[in-house]
Amino acid sequence: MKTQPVAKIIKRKIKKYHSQEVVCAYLMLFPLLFGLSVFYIYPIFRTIFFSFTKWGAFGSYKITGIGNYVKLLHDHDMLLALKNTFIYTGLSVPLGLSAALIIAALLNSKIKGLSIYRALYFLPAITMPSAVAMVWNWIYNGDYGILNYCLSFFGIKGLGWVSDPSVAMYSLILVSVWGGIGISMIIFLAGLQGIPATYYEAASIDGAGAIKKFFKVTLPLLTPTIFFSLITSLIGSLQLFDLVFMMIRPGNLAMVNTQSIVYLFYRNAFVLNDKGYGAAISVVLLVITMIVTAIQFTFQKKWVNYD
Amino acid sequence: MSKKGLIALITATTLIATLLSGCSSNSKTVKEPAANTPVTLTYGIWDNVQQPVYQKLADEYHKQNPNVTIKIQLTPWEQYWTKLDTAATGGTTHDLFWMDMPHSMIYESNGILQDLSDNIKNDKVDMNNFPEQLVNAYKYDNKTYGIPKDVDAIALWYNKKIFDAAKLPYPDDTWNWDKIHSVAKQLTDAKKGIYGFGAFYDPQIGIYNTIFQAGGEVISKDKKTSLLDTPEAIAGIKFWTQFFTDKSTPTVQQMTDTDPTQMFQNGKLGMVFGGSWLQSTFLTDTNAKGFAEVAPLPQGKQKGVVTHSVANVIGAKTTHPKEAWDFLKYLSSKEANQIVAESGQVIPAFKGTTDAWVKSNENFKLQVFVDELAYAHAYPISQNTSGWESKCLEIFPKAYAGLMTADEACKKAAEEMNKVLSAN
Repeated sequence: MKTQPVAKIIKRKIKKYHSQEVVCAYLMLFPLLFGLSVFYIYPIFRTIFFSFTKWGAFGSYKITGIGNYVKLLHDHDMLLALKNTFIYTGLSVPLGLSAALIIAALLNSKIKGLSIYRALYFLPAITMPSAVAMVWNWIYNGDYGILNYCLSFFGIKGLGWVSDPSVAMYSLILVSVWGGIGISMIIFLAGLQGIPATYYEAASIDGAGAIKKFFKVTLPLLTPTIFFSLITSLIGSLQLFDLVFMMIRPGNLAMVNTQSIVYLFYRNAFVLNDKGYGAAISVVLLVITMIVTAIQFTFQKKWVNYD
Repeated sequence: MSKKGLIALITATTLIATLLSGCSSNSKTVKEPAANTPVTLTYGIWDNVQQPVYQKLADEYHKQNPNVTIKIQLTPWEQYWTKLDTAATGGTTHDLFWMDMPHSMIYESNGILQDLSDNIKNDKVDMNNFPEQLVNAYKYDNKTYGIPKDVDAIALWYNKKIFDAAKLPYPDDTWNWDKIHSVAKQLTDAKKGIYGFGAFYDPQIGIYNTIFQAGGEVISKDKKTSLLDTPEAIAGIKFWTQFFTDKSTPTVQQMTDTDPTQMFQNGKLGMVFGGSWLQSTFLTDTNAKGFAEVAPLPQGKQKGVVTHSVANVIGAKTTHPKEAWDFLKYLSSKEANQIVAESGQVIPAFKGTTDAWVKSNENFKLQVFVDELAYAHAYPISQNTSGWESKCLEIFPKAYAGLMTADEACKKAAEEMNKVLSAN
């Protein structure tokens, strides 16, 4: 009997507090949601719509149904782009993540000049992509590049690293791994520092050495971070464009083995002025990315340890 | 409202305000301003090398017309067309801007450019002052949309030092295809890294010239069919593949890694086809200034060279059509063309002012380019020129690299070009 009026007061207080909180929350979220809807969500649906159209000049278009998708099925260039993008993703993601993981593990200990090392490894991630492309093009230059110059000391005649169709993609993968280590390293470092020292102490008591500790303590406890980096790297790699655009110019014979899905989209939408077809290509990429990510999420129960 | 709510509201409003201010565009009122109110015209160009000359013209015009200020907006070539496409779609092009022939048709046929025919008639602008084939290039449906501002041509640049070292006479106007092939072989010294010729693929600098020299054409007169698979065009391509067979040129891969014009400037190439615009580049390069010289292109079955012209055009949606036309008239005058000629950067379009261009750089025999204009063909264009040019760019280098024969490449290129031509 005594609790009833108190309960009423408490209920009323909670209700008033609740609605005010919600209003504040939405007000704070509104600018971001507004920007997100206008610049991300709306364009996604518009692009899907445009993939069913054919474009004329300066914004005029007419609806053509699934014509673009039928054309895609027969497009030899699309097949090449898919192959190239998958090779790129299949190599640069594992290589990049492994390298970042090892470096992060090494930089997690108290060594001299730690912050300098971390800064150096992170530098490529904050360098302008066009500067990266320019410098690597110089390094990779067949006749005058630094790489071939160094190789000449060992008597090896270097190839045209970005002009030879058989090696160009691997040259790009190297640049991408070099550039991507920084970001992944920072994320792994954060993950590593979330592992309590007590686990390592317990492992030492059990007689584990550094390598055993890495595989039995560090890796399993790092799997959530690895999972996150894997998802973001995969999505990013599937969208390969700027390296191809800046390091492989049109007319380069290596283009057959380096043109990526997004590069094909750019070429069709902006060079050949067929924006409907370009939209169809980007929808295909969207579907591929969603499938790859969905597969990741269903498999995560098998190897990711959340405690 | 609570303190939290107030802070939230202020933050939200500030963020939205910043967001919206970023996407504001200046609204254009369509009222004609009263005479002598200050007017600012925007003038879009793509060449930073020519910017000082055009700034001079803008300043000169401003002196003569103090109420009109010209603001030159430079967009680098790589982004110029994408930006213009977006601006045209949104109806916000500059008041005046540069147009080139490959892109001209699509802008003319979609009403992005202002029809200048009446203005030309009323103000009695004499279009005979400009080369006829180039004036026609900027006509659509019998209406004139642009007035040529410059012309160019392609000639044979050669390295005097390399010729002297091999004790061979310099190229002259008697040269034909056989001669240039054999001299290129004689000049090549692969051990020293010197090649007789730089056979890189380029439509304007390369294959169009030799296709015309073989008596062929690139596109039919009605712009509906590709003529790249005709025997003449194939012969025009074989001119280039011959160098690769003779090994008197760097490989396609080498010329992908290093720009062939750069190679020429570094003294690695005996000869190279090059545009008239290179003369100011070579003049400022202390090495090239010493050894470079220019000769007419060798002839095939006949003499042939491609010429192109950049034109000044007015945006159809400009809010100052009278002032824009007046500035355009000034830019097309003998006086303005004379100033451009003296800068030496491009050959002015106005007939009779080319002498100043030739004299601007006594280092090279620039008269060669002017003489070539007498037999020059206009650059081949259609509605979607960049569409089929981009396809050709993928196909022809493969023939140069020996991955396809010239016949196969021409057939494939014609096929792809016809697909693009019929898509419009």
